Amino acid sequence: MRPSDRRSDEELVAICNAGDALEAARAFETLYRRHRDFVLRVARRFTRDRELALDALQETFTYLLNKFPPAGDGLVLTARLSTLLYPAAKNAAITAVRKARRSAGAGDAMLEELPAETPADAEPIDAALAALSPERRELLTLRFVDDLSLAEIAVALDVPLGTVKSRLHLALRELREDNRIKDLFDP
Amino acid sequence: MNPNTEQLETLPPGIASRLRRLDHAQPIVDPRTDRAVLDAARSYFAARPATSRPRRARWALPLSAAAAVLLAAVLMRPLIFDAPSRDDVDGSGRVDVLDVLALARMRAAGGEASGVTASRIEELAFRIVALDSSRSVP
Repeated sequence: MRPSDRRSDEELVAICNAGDALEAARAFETLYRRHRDFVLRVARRFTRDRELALDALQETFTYLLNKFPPAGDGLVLTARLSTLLYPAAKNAAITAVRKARRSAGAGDAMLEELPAETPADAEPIDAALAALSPERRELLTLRFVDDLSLAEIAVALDVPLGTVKSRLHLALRELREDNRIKDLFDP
Repeated sequence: MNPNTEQLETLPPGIASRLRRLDHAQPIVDPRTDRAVLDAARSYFAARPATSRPRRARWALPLSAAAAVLLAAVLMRPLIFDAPSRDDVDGSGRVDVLDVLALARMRAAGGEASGVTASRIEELAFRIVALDSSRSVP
């Protein structure tokens, strides 16, 4: 990858769609290096396991690869690439967790059953965040960690924009009303 | 419920940074996974032709050269193969009424010594007018 590659994701995707073998492989590598850490973070969020997260990372980029010819029809970006990668990484992570639990004889388990990481002596902030539902924590993370706009979150989660706004509002209200961290909102 | 946009965009910095830390913001670098993904991509795209640009056929260059030579020959044909007309007195490349006038002036200036007969002038003038006044006589 060229470190100073300033080509946009749209340009790189276009090369992956129609470039020759070498150009397409290089463009894909740039996309991979650019979005790898984001995908890995998302995968880690839903697996809480390094190896499973790495499996999900690989699955996510295989999914992206198969969007391009010859197997795929080509990819047309209508929003940021991260809004496409987010659900792919999330699904790959959940699938990896399910597989791991099945092979460990623990049965099928949904993401919601994964406990939030909160040690017994957790800080009040950690405890308050852990008390949020997975959906609300996911929304806050997308907005304030991944810096996605509300519209991008709507695309990534495949829900209407209004739903994102109201869910985010509820998440923030829940935090604001949590007595453990109330003073952080009203210093 | 009518969520306020101002509130939606606000999260105290302490909570936001804690959220980032909880999210394991540290990337987990694994060269083996990088290699596996990128090798898969190379194999995947290798099915495509080495170059997507249309290949120039081997015969394209000689054919282009032959076409250029042919075109040049056609354009230069009057200069190479056509003998200049005796009646093109002013050397313009065409025989027209100006040549008739030039012949007439030569005869007026030199008389019989000019070698231009009155019948030649009349014949030429007649041919030009009779065929097409707008076109040259070959």
